[in-house]
Amino acid sequence: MATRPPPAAILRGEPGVHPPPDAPAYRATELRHPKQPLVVIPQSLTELTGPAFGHDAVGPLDHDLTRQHSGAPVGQRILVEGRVLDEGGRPVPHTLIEVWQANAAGRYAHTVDQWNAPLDGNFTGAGRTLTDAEGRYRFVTIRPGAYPWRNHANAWRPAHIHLSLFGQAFLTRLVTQMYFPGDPLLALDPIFNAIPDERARQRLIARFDLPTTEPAFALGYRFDLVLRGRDQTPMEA
Amino acid sequence: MAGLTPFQTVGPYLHLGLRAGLGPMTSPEAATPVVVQGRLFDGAGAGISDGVLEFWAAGFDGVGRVWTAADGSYRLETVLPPTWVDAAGVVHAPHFAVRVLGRGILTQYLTRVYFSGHPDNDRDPVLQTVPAHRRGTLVASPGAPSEYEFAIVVQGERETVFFDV
Repeated sequence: MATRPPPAAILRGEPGVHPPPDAPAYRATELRHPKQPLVVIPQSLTELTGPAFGHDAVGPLDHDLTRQHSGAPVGQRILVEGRVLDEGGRPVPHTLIEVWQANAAGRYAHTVDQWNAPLDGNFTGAGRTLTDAEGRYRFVTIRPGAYPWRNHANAWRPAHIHLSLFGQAFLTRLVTQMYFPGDPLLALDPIFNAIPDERARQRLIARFDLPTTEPAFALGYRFDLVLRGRDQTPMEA
Repeated sequence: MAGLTPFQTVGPYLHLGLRAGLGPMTSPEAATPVVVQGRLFDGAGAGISDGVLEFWAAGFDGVGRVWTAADGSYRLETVLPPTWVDAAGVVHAPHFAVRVLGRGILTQYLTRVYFSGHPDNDRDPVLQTVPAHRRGTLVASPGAPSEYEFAIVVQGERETVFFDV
């Protein structure tokens, strides 16, 4: 049997950041949240390690959602750029980011999405990239539209892009959504507002940034992501 | 300190971005093929059709990511992780960490799957931490040769144990 020393512990983070499992305003949580208390367990090698993704995980155009078909998609072309950091402010290098989103009309290229906004044959709405050595990433896409859903009467999701990140351990994983500044639907959205802490909610709103904007090409948005970090306290020998 | 980014649900269109697979479920220290399969259930006993499960074991070459089907069923072809011993001499029985994501799940539910009948289960520190009457929810039962059945119940009777870790 192999003997394995553990890497440094992963911090538990501040309370109140993540939504609770039971958020009655988001009706689908009703039958999908555990009612038993979570069982606290120590972190072991299982939780303190994670997969490494090589450059073969990502194709050269996977970060550009506007160049996956023969023509250009309809919509406002945007750049989404930022950094992936841990709680200590250290960059998270070479980690996989997956994104997915609706098209400019608010329709997903997915069989489950059947509302009558048009599909765009030039837009699938899925991409992936790896952060660089400094934790930076960049996507080229179009601004997604808002869309109706059946959660309550006249319910509309604010425009958003889904993001999935791994970080460097099983416990650093994050799946979230990026929103756009000034969207009037944010105040009405039960998913966004399931986050208890106002400051934490604001972290999901990208910032328009003129220096990121490319002249005569695309509007630029900045969106940094912060994952759970490792405890930097030196371990006893 | 930078403030953590909050979780949001993967929603119903997760399959667009969270492609199944994500690297080979192989390990230099493991060679015995196993299949882990079962269903993901909600609090009404219905299968969750828009869920995604991710399986991880230390030292593996990839993450086992599987989607649930219309009836909540899933199937993962992998290899049995090895028993290992930590720096304190504690023996850890073969297991995968399992992450549950899906529509209606605002964050993630973390659990583990162990393998019924494995002799190291009785001294595994996590399995022994779980109250005895709920321990069975973490143990996959044998099916056909080299196949294991593992149901994940997010709410209700036989609710799977989820972890704070």
